[in-house]
Amino acid sequence: MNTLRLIGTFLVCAMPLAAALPASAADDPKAREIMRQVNGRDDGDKMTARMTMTLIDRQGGERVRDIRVFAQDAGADTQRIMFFLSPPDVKDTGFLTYDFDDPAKSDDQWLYLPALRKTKRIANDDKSGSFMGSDFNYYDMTKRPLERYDFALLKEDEVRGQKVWVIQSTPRAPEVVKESGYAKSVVFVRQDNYVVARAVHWLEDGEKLRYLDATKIEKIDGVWTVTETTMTTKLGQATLHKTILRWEEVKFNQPLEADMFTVRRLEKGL
Amino acid sequence: MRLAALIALSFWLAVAPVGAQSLDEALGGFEEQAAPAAEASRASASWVDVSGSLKLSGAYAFAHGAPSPGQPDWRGLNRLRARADAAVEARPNERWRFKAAGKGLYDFAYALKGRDDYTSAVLDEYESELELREAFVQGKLTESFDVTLGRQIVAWGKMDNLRVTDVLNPLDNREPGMVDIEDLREPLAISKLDFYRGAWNLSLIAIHEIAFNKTAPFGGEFYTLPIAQPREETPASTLENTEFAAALNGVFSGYDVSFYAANLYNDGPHGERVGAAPVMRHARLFMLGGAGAWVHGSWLVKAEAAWLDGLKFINVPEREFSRLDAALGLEYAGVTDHTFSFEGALRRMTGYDARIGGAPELAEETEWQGALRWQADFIHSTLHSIALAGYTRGGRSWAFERLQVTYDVNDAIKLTGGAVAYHSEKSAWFTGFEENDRLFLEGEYNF
Repeated sequence: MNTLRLIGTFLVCAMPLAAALPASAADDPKAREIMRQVNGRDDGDKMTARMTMTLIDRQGGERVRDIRVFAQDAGADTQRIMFFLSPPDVKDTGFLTYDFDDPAKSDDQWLYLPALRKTKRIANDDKSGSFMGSDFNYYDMTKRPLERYDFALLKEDEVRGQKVWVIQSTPRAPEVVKESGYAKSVVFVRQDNYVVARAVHWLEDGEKLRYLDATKIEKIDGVWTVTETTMTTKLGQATLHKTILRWEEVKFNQPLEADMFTVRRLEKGL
Repeated sequence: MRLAALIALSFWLAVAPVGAQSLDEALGGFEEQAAPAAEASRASASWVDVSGSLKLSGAYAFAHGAPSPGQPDWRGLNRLRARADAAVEARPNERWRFKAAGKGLYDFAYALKGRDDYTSAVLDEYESELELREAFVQGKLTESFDVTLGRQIVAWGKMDNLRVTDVLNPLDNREPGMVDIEDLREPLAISKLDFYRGAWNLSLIAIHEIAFNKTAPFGGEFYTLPIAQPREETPASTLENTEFAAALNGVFSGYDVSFYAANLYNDGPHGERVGAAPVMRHARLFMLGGAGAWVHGSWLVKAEAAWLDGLKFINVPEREFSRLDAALGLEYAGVTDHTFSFEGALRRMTGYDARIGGAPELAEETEWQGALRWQADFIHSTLHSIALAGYTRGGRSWAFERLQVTYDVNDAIKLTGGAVAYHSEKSAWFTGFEENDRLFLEGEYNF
């Protein structure tokens, strides 16, 4: 089965589809092989889900976004459509993305804005911006080619009683840092199922860190799926902002309509 | 010496970048507690959905001079408006959708300042309003055909700020620069049939309701002519007056293209001499156009062009004129959470006759328009700012700048504040526009 990256990309956050590529001197073949396993694992296809995104500020104030998500593989590419159900001022907004496997090709993105009654094409190669005000950025939602990173196996550890490999990924070029917003990342890969259980991202400015924590991992329709995850932005020990993603009603191999991933459907809404 | 070293060390510890913390320290920064147990509030999964908003907005004009005797005083508070919007949407199944929306408002500013000072036309247009907005049914007839029937908005073109091919729905121009984006286009009774095949979509459109741009009435703050316009005639919304339009839209990887054709009434009226008194009428136009949007990295390039035939003018009643409108837009989103855009348009009359430059149409051979826009989000998208500058050089040259900041207090409440500045040429046919500068504030509750 082809790789579905929708959920995986929210979790992996620095790991992309595997590709057999020349490694640099700083690259650890064993770490790279683990990352290939991470990206090669079955993460489902033709998925439907409901995503609740809770944004928590420094004072504990919460904002909630409720989103219906559909995704499918298109060869090596991923197609995804999201419909915003709440809050009321963004209700009926839709976001359609064709995420191309070829890193040289910019993703196709369209945004339907109900206030304008119009679909707008989005051009944005800078993916370091916040996704809907959350601690996730757009880069967290798209695949990241392995060839753009060096990997190093730092150690083995445990996360919530599960053995993990701790792997550092370092961008090979400043453009990757600029595009992703991350100077480097460390990921915790579960040894039993190759799911990324945790990750730490060093933000480009060098002062803030983002902590990704997959707090709930379930096997759904035979696919290991993260159904609850947090991303916390910290400055030293202080938490600046936090986002909790909850995935509900997750189903794979659904009979999606042929026009589900089209501008036609984007404009008609859920 | 040791004290100096201690102070230096303390200072270094205070300012040292956190990035300098050790890897183990960084990796130990996870919060061990579980995510909050309370489930997030969920939107209703009902097939019928009711939504809406309540708004209270105020505007303060600070550039008007003292009024002449018997004229309204536009200085100071000139808007204190309470407004309610409501929409009902029903989706009985995956193929059909019904939507109806309406708005109502009352502006207390007129009562507070004295209603007797304003013309009845001004009070009719601005003081209160109760309006059915969109009300349509949309269905998927087959895998290839959709139909949409009822009052709706059909937006053509790729530009965000200028209008070249977006000719179907009239605009609300009663308060330029102050109209909420969702109110800018006026819905019309339209039948629309869409056919889809591959990357292409063909839209066939019949517009049954004949209505034109809403403009400032005589005596209004944004009415800029020194005299009242002649009586305006609006064609009846009859079968024989039905407007027709078609669009062919293609969506491809990296670019979108659209081609348009329309046979419709001109939104802007022209003068005609009927006996002794001139009247304002709307000419029937034929329009052919196209639009495209191309992505290159973080750049979005947009282009539109339209050929309009059938324009009429009071001073040359023996012939009809044509005009070519073309626009180019650039949008850059390569700076995180910021978007910059520029749009420029050129409108050029063919076979120009200097007589059509006279009142009331004031048509120039060439008219230029430009718009600059900056949009940014801050503080995890709780603070949004927009700066917009628009410029028109033609028969009546004018410009405006608008700066606004919106703060999301929470998911339901937002506060918006800003300022608009207006500029215009000094002309006997264009007076008072530049005095409309104002500050505005709005509170909004969405449900």
